Amino acid sequence: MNAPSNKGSSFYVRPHDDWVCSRCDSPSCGGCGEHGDDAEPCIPKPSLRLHRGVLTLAITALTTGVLITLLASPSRNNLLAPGPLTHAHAQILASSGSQRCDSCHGAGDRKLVDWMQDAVSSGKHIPVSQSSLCMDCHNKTLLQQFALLPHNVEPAKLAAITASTTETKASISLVNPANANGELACATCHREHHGVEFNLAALTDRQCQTCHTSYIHSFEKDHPEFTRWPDQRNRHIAFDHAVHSLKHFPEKHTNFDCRKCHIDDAGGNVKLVAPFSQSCAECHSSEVRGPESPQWTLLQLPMVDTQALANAGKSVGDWPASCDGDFDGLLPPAMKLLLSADPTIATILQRRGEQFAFTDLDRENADDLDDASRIAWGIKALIFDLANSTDQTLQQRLQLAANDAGNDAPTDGQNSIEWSSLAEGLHPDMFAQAGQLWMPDLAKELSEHRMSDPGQDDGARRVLFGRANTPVQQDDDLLVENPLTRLLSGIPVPAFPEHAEPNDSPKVPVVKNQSDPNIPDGVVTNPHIDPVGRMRNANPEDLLLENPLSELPPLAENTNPTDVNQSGNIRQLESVINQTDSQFIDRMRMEIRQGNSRQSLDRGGGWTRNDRNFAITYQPVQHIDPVMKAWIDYSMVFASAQVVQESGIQDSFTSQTSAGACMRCHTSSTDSNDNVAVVQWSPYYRDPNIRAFTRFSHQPHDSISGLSDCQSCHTINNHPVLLSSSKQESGFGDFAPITKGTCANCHRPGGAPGGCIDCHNYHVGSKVPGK
Amino acid sequence: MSIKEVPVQRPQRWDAPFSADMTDNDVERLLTLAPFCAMNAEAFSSKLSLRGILKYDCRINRYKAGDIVIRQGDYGSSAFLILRGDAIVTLNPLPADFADKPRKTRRSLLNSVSRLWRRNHVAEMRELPGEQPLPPIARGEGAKMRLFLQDIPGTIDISQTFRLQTGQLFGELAALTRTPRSATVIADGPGEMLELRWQGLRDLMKRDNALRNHVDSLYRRNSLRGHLQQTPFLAELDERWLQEVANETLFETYGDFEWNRQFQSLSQRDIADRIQSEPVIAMEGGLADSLLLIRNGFARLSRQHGDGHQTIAYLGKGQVFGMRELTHNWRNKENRPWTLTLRAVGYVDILRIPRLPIEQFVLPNVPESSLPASFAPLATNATKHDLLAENDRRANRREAQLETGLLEFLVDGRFINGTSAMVIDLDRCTRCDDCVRACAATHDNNPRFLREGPRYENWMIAGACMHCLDPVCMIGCPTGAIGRNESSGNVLINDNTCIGCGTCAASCPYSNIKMVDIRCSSGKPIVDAKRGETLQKATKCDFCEGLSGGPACQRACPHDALVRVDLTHPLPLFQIIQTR
Amino acid sequence: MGVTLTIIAVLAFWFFETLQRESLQHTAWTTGYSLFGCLLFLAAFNLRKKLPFLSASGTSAMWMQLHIYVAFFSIAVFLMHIGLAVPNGVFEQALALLYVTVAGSGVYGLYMTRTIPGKLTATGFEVIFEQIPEKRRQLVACARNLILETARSTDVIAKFYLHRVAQFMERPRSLAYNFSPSLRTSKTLIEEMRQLDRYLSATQRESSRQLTTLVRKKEDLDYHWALQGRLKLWLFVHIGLTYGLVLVSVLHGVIAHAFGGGLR
Repeated sequence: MNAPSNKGSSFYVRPHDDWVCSRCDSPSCGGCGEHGDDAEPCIPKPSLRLHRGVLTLAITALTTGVLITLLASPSRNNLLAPGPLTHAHAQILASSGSQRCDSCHGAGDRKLVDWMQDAVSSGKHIPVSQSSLCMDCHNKTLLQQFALLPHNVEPAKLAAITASTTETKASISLVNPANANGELACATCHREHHGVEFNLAALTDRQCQTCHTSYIHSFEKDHPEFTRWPDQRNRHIAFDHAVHSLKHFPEKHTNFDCRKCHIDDAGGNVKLVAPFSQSCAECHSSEVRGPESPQWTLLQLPMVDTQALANAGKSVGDWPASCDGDFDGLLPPAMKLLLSADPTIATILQRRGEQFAFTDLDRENADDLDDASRIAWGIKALIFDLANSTDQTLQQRLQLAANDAGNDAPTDGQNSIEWSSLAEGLHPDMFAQAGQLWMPDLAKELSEHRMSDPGQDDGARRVLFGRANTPVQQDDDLLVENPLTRLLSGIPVPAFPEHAEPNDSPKVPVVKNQSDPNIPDGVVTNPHIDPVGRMRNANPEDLLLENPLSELPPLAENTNPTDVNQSGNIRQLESVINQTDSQFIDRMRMEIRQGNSRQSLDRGGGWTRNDRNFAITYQPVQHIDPVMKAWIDYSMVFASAQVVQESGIQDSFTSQTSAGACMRCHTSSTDSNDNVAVVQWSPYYRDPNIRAFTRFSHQPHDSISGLSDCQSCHTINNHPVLLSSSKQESGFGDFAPITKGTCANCHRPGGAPGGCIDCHNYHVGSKVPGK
Repeated sequence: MSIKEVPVQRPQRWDAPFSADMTDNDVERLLTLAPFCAMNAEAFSSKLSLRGILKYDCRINRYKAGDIVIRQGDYGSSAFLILRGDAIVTLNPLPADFADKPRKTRRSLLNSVSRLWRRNHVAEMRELPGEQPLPPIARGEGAKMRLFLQDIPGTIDISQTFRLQTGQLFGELAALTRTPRSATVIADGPGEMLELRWQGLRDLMKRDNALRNHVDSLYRRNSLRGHLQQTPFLAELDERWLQEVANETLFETYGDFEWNRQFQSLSQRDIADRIQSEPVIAMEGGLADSLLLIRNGFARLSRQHGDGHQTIAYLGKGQVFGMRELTHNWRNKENRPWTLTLRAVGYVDILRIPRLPIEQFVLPNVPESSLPASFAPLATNATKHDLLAENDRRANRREAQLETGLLEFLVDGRFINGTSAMVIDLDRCTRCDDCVRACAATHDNNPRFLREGPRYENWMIAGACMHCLDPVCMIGCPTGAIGRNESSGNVLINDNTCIGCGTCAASCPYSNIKMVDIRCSSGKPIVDAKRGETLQKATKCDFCEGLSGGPACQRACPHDALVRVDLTHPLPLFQIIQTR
Repeated sequence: MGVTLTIIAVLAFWFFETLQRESLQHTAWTTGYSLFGCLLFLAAFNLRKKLPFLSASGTSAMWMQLHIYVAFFSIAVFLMHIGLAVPNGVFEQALALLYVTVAGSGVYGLYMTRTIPGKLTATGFEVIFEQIPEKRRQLVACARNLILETARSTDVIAKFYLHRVAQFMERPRSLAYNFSPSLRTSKTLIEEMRQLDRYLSATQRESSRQLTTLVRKKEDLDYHWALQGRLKLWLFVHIGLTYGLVLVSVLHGVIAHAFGGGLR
């Protein structure tokens, strides 16, 4: 081995030569004389490296060819696609076949050249941004202008929210994915082409914390404590769970079952409050409507000392004898308001103050007498006008009252008032008859009084006569118009003696009286409920002409038994529950209203003329009674108006003995956009179509055995004040606040999921356009 | 294959004279001067006449004061004869700015890259003579660039110098022994010097004994002290003691100057009798009567082992043998014999300094610390084995432990001669031939070595020129086309002046010089017009002369398998082995 | 040293990549471009080999080391790039397959270059791959001459040669052998030859010995042919596919740019 062995290769091997001797694989045989003498000649053959070079070249060429054909082939896109789309997208795009790429990619149907230019121009060449293409379809559920902004919330608002939350521990600050305008591409989070089953909405907590630098390792450790749960603002109905569960239900020996009143919506993730008829009616219907509920007074004559007035030369004409005497009696708030439409009276009332009562008037005092006469005349005018046209008068006067006090009510507030309902079921005839019975010559007196007393300003005249600028000589038309003039012209109107015996009076009201024992003797209930009596002693032709009663709706369809209605209600309710939510509330209201209006017939209630204390009163006929609702809404909308305040009309609703006791359960709240108080007539309802930052679904929780009892989370706390009458002020503290701990019992590492997006939405706003 | 041949005139020696501007007048003038006037022209053959030598192998250089004629450490292949003026010789190294080597010609980047597509597919392509004029014979030396000293006393210590006068010959040693210049010579005042290239000098000496003796005496007078001063122990010796030593020193030569002749045949024979056949310089157990300095060549250090000899190490130029024995004997007045055998490997020049002057002048004046330690005292019942074991340890101490096998492989293969042998670690080499490819790429697509050669275990000495310390290939090159590059010390062949006689190839013991048929750009072989045989050129590794960053082969090896190693000392190879 | 550096680099890169992924960045850009960079660098090694005389380009050994480390780094990056899942687009699958093949062949080659040289050295015999066929030819010639020699005195060896050895000496070895070279065949042959000795005279035995040595030489040649061939062949795959890979990945990049989602 040690000997130098250079036999057989006295020449250099030339590695760079492509062609080598076929014999010795050495450079073409000039160099190797090895086998010159050998028989077979030496043919140059390619060297190993040449082979390799050729192979490499071939493969490269092949690749190029394949790529070119690939790019040229019709199924280019299918082959280039980096992976299958998620199920939803795939289905939508299935129709568009191989052209589908360009529905999401600007480059989809471009040529390779464009791609290259785009690549070198860093995306300038193909200006269509993918996100914009996304929005072509997703514009329904996302607001276009905020679509790419974080949380789809306009920056200012978002900043405010961020400022309100405290971010303490800062994590490593990561690269912000947003562009200069703070916009985020859809593809930042939603990454396609990862297979049919891929979850496009998946987002890890760390990814949330790209922007939310406050570091949250786990929900139970780092998530800030809940502050506003249960949210008191969501208390539309002042139902004290504590008192009911501990006191009232036990008293009635019924068990307090949450699910009786709280029913699932279709999705099962929102709890609804069952309608009144289902939930509260059983115990509270009597307080809400019908004879047992207190009367609400629209109008009542005070005791007036006509003698003194007459002596003082301030006669008020006819005044019912039984209210003639020493000044006495209160003015009901509603009447105060209606009178306040007349500025002169308004000023008087203002001067007299809230606690004003006729008792305060001194028959010796001239001013007092003057005021008394003015008010008395005001009342007469009011009755006249009401008899003339009830709805119009009420609306005009109430608006005047509010506006004269220098308060211009916000329009949307006004819209929330159903003016037409102010006197629903109240027919002008009631005033006509009242006028005829109480002060027969009302119309004449008024016109005379008007002439005699020119000192009345325009406003008064305007009010006093339905048509403001009517010249005097046109009185006839007026007289013909007003039902009262009919009285003047001696047309017979059923006259009721002050002391009518039930037996000799053939009139249906007596029957009605029997059917309704609550009504005291001599009180004639609303006549329009019985047309028959009318038809008998009124001759048809002029009745047909001008009898307002002919406009009364036929009552035939209203007479079906209540129980059927009830069962019908339930069935309807169930069907409603099965269908989703949005119109649910309205449907429910409507349906309840029908039910109630029928009940009102069977169970009485409604408008009453009381000839004993000369008052027109109202008893709610149903739950969510339109009349009461209208008046309450009015009192709320114009709450700020001085006149309204002084009239003390609100107290008439909120007081313990208020008619219908609406305001005891229906809380009022000042809504966000303008600070007009509104009554929350409907129970709180979380609309699942509106995505908040946080979402909660009862449905999955209900299925868990441990949570089947609502109280395992919503624990009613039996606090000391719960029996005190002052639960209004106690802030409905009948539920122990739901703390983070409550959730953390299950939502902790190893337990139920505790990720950010398990409870929080990224995209905030309404799913349904417009909402 | 019918390749038509292109006839040209076969190149002869003296086709390209040493210097073009040597005129016959110059020759006449020289013939009047010593020593040429004393020479007998008849003694010279007609083919190599004295005049011819003077005309073609000599040239006359003119120097100004301060010109540096030769520089210490340079490789020179010519001797100088002072015709007029003086020169100063200094042994101290020059200041850095003078010591630095002249710049090599670098390839430009573009030039390098362009080789990719300018790859030449014709093997051994050459420009046809006449297509381009031959440059004068000058291995970089023809360039008129000369360094010179502004003021001599300011730059060098005059006290440390000696002076050369007219008629004196210098530089002959380096020229003849193919060793680097031992001293620096500076022209002192304007002068004229005759420069003889060593082929010329060699021929002159062959024919003229006077010159030979003259040269010897010159060596004793000038170079000897220089040489002594460079050897350990004597380096720091005082001037006059050194002189004494020099006077006592004897020259000895062992082996054959042209050892490579029968090296090939030797290498066939068995290691044992190969060692036996090597001329003994000092025999183990013999009387330790003198200190031996190796002036040139190599000596095998071996010791008796059983019946044969085991190589322990090899000594190269400038190393010393026997100091330890002498010191020991001097210290404790004993008479220890040589503990090892010293044999001449090929051709060795020895300087023998007898024991007496050493004990007289050297040992007392050398700091104790620098002297070698004494032997362990010889126990009365000391057996030979103890001695052997002790020797073993000493041997190990003296040399990095190359295992004997490898050591003998190197010595027997004479690879110890190589200053940059190509060593391949076969345990790493993937036989990818990148080295060969790189070599070819750097040499106009002609590789200059063979990736095969003798191997010991996983170490292969590939067939690339080792750039020997003792370049026997240079012997007998008629035109001096082969020689050392002054700056790099690489042995190069000047392709332009190579006449393809094949002498060098024949004399290279490692057959690392290949004769190749040359072709013209059309790929046809170039043939001699007269004889009609294809012309050849001697080719070999040029260590990528002019390529910065070292030889391409080494830099091209992806697995660090191939290294160029200086084998003249075991250490570098040992270090490499250690890293494996 | 380099290994640890690579590992550190990989870890650092992985951390960075995770950071980006968690912060809703599309890390495909980071990993993709790094991968492509690595690819170019790795491919550049071949170029470097073509410019050995370029002193600026550093030693080939250094390049080799870098090549290996960067390659392993690139493998890590590749895994991050595909998210440790098989890409589900046809084009991308092809690209991934290309890369895997190239990288795989590279790893295989690395293993070869580390293990085979030792085996070759162990044979104690060196030959330049390109010269093996010629050497074989010479062997066959020698063998035939030898047989003719012996045929004069005895036909035993000749017969044996024809029936058993010729197959081995004059035909190329089986594919199986080239996959896993083993001494079995030659060993048995040699053994059988020894069996023959009893039928041979001293001189004939001598030539039988010679035949044995020839067989051994042939064995060596075949062994070198198999292993050295392997050392050269893996490069066919490794280099052969490289440029195709680069091409495809360029197109991949262009498409990624054109189709990449996001805002513009």
